[in-house]
Amino acid sequence: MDFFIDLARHMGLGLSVAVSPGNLLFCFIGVTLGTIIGALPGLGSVTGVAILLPLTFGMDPTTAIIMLSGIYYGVMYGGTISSVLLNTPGDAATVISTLEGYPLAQKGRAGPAFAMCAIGSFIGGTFGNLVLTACAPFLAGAALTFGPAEYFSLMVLGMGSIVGLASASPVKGVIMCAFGLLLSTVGVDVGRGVLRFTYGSVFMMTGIDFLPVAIGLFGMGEVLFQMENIVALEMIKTKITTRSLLPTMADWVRSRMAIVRGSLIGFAIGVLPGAGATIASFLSYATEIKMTKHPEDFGKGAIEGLAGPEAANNAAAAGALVPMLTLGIPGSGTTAILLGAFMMYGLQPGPLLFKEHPDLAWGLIMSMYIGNLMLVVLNTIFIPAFASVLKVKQTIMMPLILVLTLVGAYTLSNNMIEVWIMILFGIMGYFTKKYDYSTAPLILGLVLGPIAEVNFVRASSLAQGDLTVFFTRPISLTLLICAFLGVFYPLIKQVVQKMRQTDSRNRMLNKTG
Amino acid sequence: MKRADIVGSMITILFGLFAVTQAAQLDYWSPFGPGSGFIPVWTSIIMTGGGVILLIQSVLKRKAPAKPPAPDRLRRFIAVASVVALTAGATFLMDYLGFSISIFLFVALMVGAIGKHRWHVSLMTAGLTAASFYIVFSVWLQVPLPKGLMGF
Repeated sequence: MDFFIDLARHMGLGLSVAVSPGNLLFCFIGVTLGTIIGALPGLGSVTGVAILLPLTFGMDPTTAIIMLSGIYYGVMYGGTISSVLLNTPGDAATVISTLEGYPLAQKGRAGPAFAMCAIGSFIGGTFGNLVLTACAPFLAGAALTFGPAEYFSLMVLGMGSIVGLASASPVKGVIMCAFGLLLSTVGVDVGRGVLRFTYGSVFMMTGIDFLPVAIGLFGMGEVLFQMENIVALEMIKTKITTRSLLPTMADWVRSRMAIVRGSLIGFAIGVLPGAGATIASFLSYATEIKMTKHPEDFGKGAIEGLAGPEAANNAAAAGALVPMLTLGIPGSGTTAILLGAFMMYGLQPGPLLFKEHPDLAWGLIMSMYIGNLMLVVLNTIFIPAFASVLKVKQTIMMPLILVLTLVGAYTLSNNMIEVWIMILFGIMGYFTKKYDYSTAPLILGLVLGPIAEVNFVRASSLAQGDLTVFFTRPISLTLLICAFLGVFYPLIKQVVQKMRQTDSRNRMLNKTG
Repeated sequence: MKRADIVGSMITILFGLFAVTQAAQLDYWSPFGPGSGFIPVWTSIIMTGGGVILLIQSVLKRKAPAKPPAPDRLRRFIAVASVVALTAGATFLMDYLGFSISIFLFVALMVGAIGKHRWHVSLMTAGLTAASFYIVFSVWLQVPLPKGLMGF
């Protein structure tokens, strides 16, 4: 009973924060910008949050975080627009939406497609929020008992799972994560007051900030990659009126269970560190193919194959905030940048956030309900306005994004060196994208590195330098085992698949023999 | 990809080894436990190890059937290199010409020369971009944007 009273009290506090005029305004700006960024082909949530983060400088931290999160889940809605109209995903999480969305638009049913997506996204996002609201206090409460050893192992788990699940090649993921960790050690070692890798430079003493690195990797790197592959995108000529948005009864009947399944899959996948909205949407699509009564329609415009993954990617975005807010471990590139934003404002996500800054934590959660409501309106009634963004040529949009990256890197400390660092990482971002080196582990290593090291040193000092402390404490050991499984997950999957293949081959041989 | 992976792994190994030698100069162990060199040493070793595994993987990888080189490879390289050069150029010029003029020139060249739009389109885009960024960042957000020799 106490739990529910506490929850209601916290939700009330959060609501009072979320509905303050300033927070409402910036929540609206965030979700609108998110929808626009999402609609632009190739630019996803990670780029959006990275390049627009500098706009929040000088804001109240709660307002800033509300706006940045709005951009994050706004992208999930907006990504569908280019998937449906251009057959080009606006974000990785909406790749799957092209498969059914584009054929629907070709049939002249873009309107109902957008409406079902918006409704699916709203239900998925709100469901994700509800579970986040209910389970965040539990997780945060459990994590309060963690000591430095458990925290260190938790950070290792965060990095391990993103390496194993989010990278095309785990080896490349490990390399990038180690590079990020190494970068995080540049500057003054706070724990011991020693200078590391500064080479006599005063600038290096403060260390390498994550923001120019993130803007370079995800902003400039992305632009360079897009500039290399500029193709004229052909937009489907279709007139979307408010009346044409209405889905038919058959659309509802076909999509309702897909949305429910998508929401459940999305949240469950989103909570896992490393597996985010993209994997969730793929899994939801695969489930719908298995469950559908109309398999013949798939690939030709099956609306349930669009509504399910859309619900899944939105539920996953809410789910991904669970480990970030309650444990302080982000599960994706975007949540890693959000974590960095928290730290820039002097806040440390994790169990203490709910205790020390309940107004921020609950204000953010409650703002997400409001943001989702705003988004469902924006993505139905105002969809023609957002679709017109697609008419802006990439050759005009990309220079504007580059200017944003330049200004963004500069505004961090009003220093040109940060801009040069951004350019350097922009070039690196281009090559890493071209040659399949996932950059999310690098950002995660850079953001989590300092916290992981502080906890590592604290735990080993408390144990008089005995490093076995990480293996003798049960929770720490469990987390480390999970991290190990996370890194080696692709390898384990391969071995299991091979064993199954050999097993079924043996059975076949036995039968024929 | 095979050749690219070999080059990537070599760069990783060389950088990792360099980092190991640098990290080794820091205290590895202190009287209270791990020293300030402990984490850098191990992350550099992990990085180098990753590079070695990637090298072995890419050498052992069966060579994919040779794809004909993309006909527009040079054009793509020039496109990327010119964007980098223009970005770096604009950044360099900011100290001398100030933010607004550098951004104006940058956008005009990006849209006109690289994007191949008509000059009036590129000049208009550049003017609007420089003005709106100035208003948002300098006037509204009060960011002291770089000033040039002319004082703005």
